[in-house]
Amino acid sequence: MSLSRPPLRVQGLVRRYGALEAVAGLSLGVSSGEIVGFLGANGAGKTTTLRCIAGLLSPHEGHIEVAGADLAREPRVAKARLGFVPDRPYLYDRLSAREFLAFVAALYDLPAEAAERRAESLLERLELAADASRTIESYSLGMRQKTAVIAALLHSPPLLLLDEPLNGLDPASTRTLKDLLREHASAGGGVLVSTHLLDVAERLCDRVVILRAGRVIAQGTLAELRGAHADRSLEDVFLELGRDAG
Amino acid sequence: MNRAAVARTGLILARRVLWSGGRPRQGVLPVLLMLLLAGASVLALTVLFGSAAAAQVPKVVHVNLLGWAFTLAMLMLVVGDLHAVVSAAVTAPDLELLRAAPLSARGILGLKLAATLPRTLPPVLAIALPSVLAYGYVNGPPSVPALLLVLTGLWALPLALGTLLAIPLLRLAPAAHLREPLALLATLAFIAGWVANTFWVPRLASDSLDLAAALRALPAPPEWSPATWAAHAIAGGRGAASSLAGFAALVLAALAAAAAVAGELLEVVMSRSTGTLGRVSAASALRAPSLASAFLKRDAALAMRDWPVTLDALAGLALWTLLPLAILPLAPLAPLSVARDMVIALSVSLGHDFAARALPLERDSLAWARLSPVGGARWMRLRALGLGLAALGMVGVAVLVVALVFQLSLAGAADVAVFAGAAAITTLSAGLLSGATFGESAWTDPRAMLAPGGRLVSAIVSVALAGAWLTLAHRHPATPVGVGTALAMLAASVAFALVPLALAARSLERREYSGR
Repeated sequence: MSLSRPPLRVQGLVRRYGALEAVAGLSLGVSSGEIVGFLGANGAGKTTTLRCIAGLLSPHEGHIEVAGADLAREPRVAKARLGFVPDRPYLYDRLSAREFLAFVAALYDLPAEAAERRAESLLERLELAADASRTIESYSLGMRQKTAVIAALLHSPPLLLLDEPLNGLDPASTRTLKDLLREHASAGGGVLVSTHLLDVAERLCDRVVILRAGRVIAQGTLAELRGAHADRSLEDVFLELGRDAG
Repeated sequence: MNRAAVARTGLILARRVLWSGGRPRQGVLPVLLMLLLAGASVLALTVLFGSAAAAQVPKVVHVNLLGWAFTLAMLMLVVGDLHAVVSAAVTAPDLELLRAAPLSARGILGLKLAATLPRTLPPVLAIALPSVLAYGYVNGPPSVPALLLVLTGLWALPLALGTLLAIPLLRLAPAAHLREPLALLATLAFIAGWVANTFWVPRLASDSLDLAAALRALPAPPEWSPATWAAHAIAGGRGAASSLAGFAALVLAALAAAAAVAGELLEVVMSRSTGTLGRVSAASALRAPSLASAFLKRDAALAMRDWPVTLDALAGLALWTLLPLAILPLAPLAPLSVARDMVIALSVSLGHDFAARALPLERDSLAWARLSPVGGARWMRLRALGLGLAALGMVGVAVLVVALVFQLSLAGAADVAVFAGAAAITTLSAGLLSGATFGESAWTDPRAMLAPGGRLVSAIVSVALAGAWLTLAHRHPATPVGVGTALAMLAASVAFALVPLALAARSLERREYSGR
């Protein structure tokens, strides 16, 4: 894992859909060892931002740097340094989880034995090993989500992007995923996680970025966002910011 | 349930499929195609009934013909509607939403089946209605109530039967597994029916055939068949009223039975939507030694497990390869020329049936071409590699078979191989570009993996390329080409292929995945 450069630096990101400006000059960063929560109401631009960073959408303006690699100039280097869990995972339904992970390992040019060990360990931890030889089409929503998480973690990327990763996960798997994210950060990686679950963000994230209409309206640690009112929850802060910005 | 609001929503959705944003949408093309089929059927059947009348064939034979046309339409409808019911059942999220609403099982099933109307109506409009129109044109128009009742019944009865048949099938396998083979079966049944109506039927009227004798020899359709009752109801005269009453009673009974099992069908669908499926062998270990072998393994697994697609493509391959034999009696050719024609015709299928589907076969997982560090250009090269190896095998077998059948010399076989290879390289690359440009990631029908317009473009491009090679083949004497010519042909085809491959790679590089 590359530790010398911050896992993510985004400056002035703009992305439009026709006349709609979904992301309007957004800037944010994720440092090594940091888990950043990405919050915002529906349509705030979270998914579009994550997809721009992952390289699935081309920004109209702005600069994205993943662990020191410029996404526009060195897309392959940048993409090799990130893992992405989309809200609707891209899985080959007619492959088994093991076959799919072997394919993903090859896409990231991982040594076969190391990839196998890593994948089997993650399959065990997320309690998917027993079903990993079944084709993905038979999986529940949670099992598909776990497969996508393992695929994103397989190459131990410096930056991990997750879009609503807890969708469909049972409490035990939710706990395991949170542990995995914390371990990833402890090893020097950065995590940017979008979620609607404010209590999860409150407990899991070191810092939160709150988005509204494609712009960052607040960011900082929970203590910084609470300001003078230490007894306020993240939910209170979020709702208050929403009212102020509206 | 506010039926008016629900119907209005359905109409808005249907309208947007055809016309949206001030311009026609892709949904217009199937409608035009259906109208074309209906027109062709009306013409063919009018010729047939007219010829029968001119030959003074008794009216009972006309009614038998109508009965067989209805039987054909009903058989196609049963297969098609079975697919429609299973497809409607597949949309589980929608189904969950409807089940959560305060609606009865019958209401839900009614809504789902109403949504299948655009898919279940075409056989009625393209086969049954033209049959009635042609019959009426020659024998006098049927009564309007009988016509409406028969057409409605011919639509509703197979739909009810499809609903009843879907339950045991869905108990055997999840809807997601049944959907594609049934789609294939439905399409092939429809094509077979249309081919029979449009091509076989007019031949009955040709000068070389004693039509009157042929029609008199035509057996009557089974008396117990509802299609026969429908034909008698349309024909009018004695017994028409009782036939119509029997037909209507049967339709109502079938609909009542379908409504009665609606709850059970929904239960089966819900319980089987994520049911356990067959396990992949334990040998599917996690190791992938190289990127190329990982792609080849994946491609092989997709081809084997998406077998309806593979089977459909292979059927297309066989049909295209045999096509030149169909025109052989019209234009006698030297064996080497026929062999060349066959392998060049095969290349149409390689482009249109195989290459154009290669990328859509990956569905949304194609996003990995942008998400991973592999990149669109390399992704395309690796996809082309797998496709090329598969094509090499198919072309090799085809060349071997035609060389043996036509007893070609070694030089002749090499000549055929050169034409086959050169033509295949061009159509394969063009097919990949068609797939990259028009591929539909959410396809459910193996024959509809490209947008409707894209399918047309893909077919035209493949046929045009093959046509160019056929022209070249026929301009060259029916003697084996020399080494220099062979190399030039192959080099030209490779040079040509680089352009569509580069464009397809660029399309993959630029394709966006907004999730919207």
